[in-house]
Amino acid sequence: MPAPAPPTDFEQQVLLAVWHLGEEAYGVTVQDELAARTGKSVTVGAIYVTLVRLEKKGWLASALSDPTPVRGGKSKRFFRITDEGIAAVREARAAMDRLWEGLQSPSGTEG
Amino acid sequence: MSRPGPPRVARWLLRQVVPVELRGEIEGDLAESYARTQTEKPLSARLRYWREVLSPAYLTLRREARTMALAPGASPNARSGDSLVTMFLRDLRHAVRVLRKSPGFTLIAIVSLGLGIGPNTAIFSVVNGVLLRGPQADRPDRLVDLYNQGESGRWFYSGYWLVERLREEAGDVFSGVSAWVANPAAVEENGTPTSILYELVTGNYFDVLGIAPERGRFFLPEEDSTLGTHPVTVISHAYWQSRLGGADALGTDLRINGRPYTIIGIAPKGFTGKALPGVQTDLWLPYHMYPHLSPGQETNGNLGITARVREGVPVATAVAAVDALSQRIDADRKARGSKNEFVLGAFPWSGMYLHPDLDGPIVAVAALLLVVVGLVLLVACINLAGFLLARATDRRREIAVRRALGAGRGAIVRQLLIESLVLGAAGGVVGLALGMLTLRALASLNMPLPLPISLSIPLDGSVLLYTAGVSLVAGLLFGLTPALQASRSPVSQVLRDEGNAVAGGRGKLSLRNVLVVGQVALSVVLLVAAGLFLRSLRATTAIDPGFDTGPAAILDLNGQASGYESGRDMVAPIDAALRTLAVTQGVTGATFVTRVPLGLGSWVRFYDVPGVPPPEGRDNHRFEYTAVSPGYFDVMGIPILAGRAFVEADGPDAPPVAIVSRALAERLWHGESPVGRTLISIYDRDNPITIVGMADDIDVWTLGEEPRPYLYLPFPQAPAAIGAVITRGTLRPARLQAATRDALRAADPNLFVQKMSTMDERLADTVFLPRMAAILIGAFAVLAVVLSTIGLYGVVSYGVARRTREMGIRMSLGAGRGDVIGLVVRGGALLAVTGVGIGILAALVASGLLQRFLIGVTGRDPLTLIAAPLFLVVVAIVAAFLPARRASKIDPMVALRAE
Repeated sequence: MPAPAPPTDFEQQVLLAVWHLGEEAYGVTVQDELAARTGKSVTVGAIYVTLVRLEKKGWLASALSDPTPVRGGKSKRFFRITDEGIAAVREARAAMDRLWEGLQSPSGTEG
Repeated sequence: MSRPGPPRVARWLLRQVVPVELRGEIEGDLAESYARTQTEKPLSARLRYWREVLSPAYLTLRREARTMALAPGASPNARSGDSLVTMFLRDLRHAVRVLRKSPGFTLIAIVSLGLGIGPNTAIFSVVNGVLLRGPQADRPDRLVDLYNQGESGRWFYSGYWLVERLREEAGDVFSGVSAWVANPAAVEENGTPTSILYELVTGNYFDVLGIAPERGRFFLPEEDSTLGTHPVTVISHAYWQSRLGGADALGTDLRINGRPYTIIGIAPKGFTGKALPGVQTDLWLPYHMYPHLSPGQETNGNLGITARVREGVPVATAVAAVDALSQRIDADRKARGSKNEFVLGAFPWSGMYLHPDLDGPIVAVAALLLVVVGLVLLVACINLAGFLLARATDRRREIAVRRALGAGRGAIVRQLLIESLVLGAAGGVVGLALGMLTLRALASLNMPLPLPISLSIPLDGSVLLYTAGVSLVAGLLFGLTPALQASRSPVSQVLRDEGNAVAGGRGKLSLRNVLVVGQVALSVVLLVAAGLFLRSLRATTAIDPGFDTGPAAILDLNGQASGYESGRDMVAPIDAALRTLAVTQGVTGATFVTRVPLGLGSWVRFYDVPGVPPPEGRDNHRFEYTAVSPGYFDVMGIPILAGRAFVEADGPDAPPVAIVSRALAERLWHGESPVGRTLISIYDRDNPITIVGMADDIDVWTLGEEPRPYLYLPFPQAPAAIGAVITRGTLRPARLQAATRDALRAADPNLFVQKMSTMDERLADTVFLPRMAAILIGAFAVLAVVLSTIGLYGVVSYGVARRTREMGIRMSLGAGRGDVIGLVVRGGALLAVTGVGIGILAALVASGLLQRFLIGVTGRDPLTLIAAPLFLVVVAIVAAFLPARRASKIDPMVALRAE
């Protein structure tokens, strides 16, 4: 299997949010985490699109919980980041860092 | 759980859009997020939920989910397929895309469908406004109307005494008995009197109907208990909005017939009154104000009665109680020596549209019009079915490929049906717009009534529902056959047939032929119907009414609206005006009559005739009459056959005289001269009336009626507060009208002219219904012919296009242009002639049903039955000739290379 394309910005954000949340990562908490850390409000639907894509790439894994009453008797799908996922965000960050290396903003102070 | 969940509709929608594989968890996430904010900010929770549901991300998610590896815990049959809604949405998108790819076809389809649906919408609106709008009352099933049966067996209005008697003697079955009558009045608006329509109603009218005021209040019991003491009025919502600008009107005065009336209430929006369905009543006034509003008319039996059946009493019991009361009244009268039969009938609203006598003819006309527009729609649908069949033939490869790739027959049929439903919906929108335009044109027509009225034909929910239903049915009707046909063709054969387009098309082409034949046949039926109505109209207008129909000005006057106490007050000003007109330049004659002929009715009086017993079962003779000024017979050109006409000397104090019509003289004295004989009025037995002359018969009610016994009285001896001045002269009608109006103004500036018209307009009014029928049915027939001509043209040119190769071969083998044209035209003409043949047979059946609507022409009218089909054949040949000429111009070499 050829190596998957590097994660997009949003994919990185979702991977990192899931990593942050540890055992507690599911639709609503990921949404909250993204809102808290990036200030962006994203719909659950959009988040799921990315979660599903990331799981297909093997960077996330998921499992269903038991149903809870506050959710109208529905289960939660918990996501956790896989080792491959961690490797992928690390590589993405490293690639960025390499690009940033040695750059200064025009005014002379570090950007 | 006490907490309300997320919005139900949104939840349902969510289930439709979310891929089934992730349904549970996403629903759960959104429910959790909703529950968190719901208690504190319910509105923002709802909005947020909706935003989540409407997120376009789910469309992407569905694609993603399809290739998703199922995680542990998902239900095994989770991937059971698409929800109906998404399937529908996908088909819808596809349909719109396909239709947009052939804009020409789509435009023609939508417009012809709109042309078919438009008339349906317009006619249904009228039928709905007049017949079906539903009673404007609370619990209408508990209401009954009461009418008196007349000699003729028809049902007539009653008098106020009956209202009182019902209240006294039927109070146990009726909780309220109300009465109403519609009349014109003059309302002063900015100083000028304007004609309006009011209903004179008993104080409990609105209570009995169960209607609540929009503003203010309705009448109090004391406002309708003493004569002439409470000048108050309730105005309609429409009047309030249009004439008073919706301003705060309560407590202000309206000058009605010259007297101020205080506005106490505004009727609810849409309430148009009881007396005239489909017509907007402007005001309601208390019955006991009649001495001011219609002086001298209180004895006339002209009240409609509506009663509400008491709670808990079955309507049938109330009807039976009315029967019993009717028999009691009849017995009382017979006991007092009367021979007149008295019959009172109660008609529950639930079993009646408008009036026991009118329902039959009105429903028949409504049904006729609905059938006619239904046929037009059918022709339009057949057209589209034909187009779609042709398209389906052209799309056979596309469909075969889709089937070969695994699409089921159901999926193909569904797709094609949705395409036609999209066309149907678009056609419906166009049709609705056309219908509204037609309706506006209809509403602006001059109605044959003595005052201007405003039709109240609303575009309401039922009209929209009807149009939507018609569009849907149309979509299915013209979509189903082509869809089934297209899906049935065997895949392998179609794919093999590539390059030989002629072979496979036979079946579909012949079905199209059948459709065109049907279309032509329907058009023949409609055209014959239109022809019959046209002939009927011509026959009606050709009738000689017995008086001079040359140019004249006719001015309807309303003395009640002028503040006159009685008809006697009219005599002097009319006399003065006629004297002025007699010496006016350009006026050759002027006269006054209380009822202008052809007025669809007449007044009656009761007489004893010495030596002639009254008809069986009656106490007296009942004569229809009119009162006229001297000079009437001269101005109207009605010959005096014996004796003399009225003269100036026949004044109020002179010995009473009368003139009889020939039919009346014939009925009473069987050919002996009536002159010198006497009549005795039952209202004034001391002064016998001497008959001084006999006039020739004229049409009194309607054109072409049987000679009607008619009595003429001198106006000064039988005055009335309403009537019309008729003026003839060398001036043009408008100038004649102005001269007459000036003469009337000079006689009494207050004399209210209710309507100015001309003799021609009056005559046109009398043929209003035949003319409307001829115009409407004619227009619809023309529409049907246009549509089927398009259909025929389509079939023939499609056939030509498919036979290009054949034409090429024929021409290269020596066939001339004429041969090719002949070949194609013969094909088209064959279809047309077959259709016309079937159409004539159908028209013969249909015209039998039309007979009851026709005057002066039989349903088997040979001229119509020959001319209409002939016209269609000619049109058909032209429609076939155009593509034929194109075929004849084909270059054989090009044609052979084609395909």
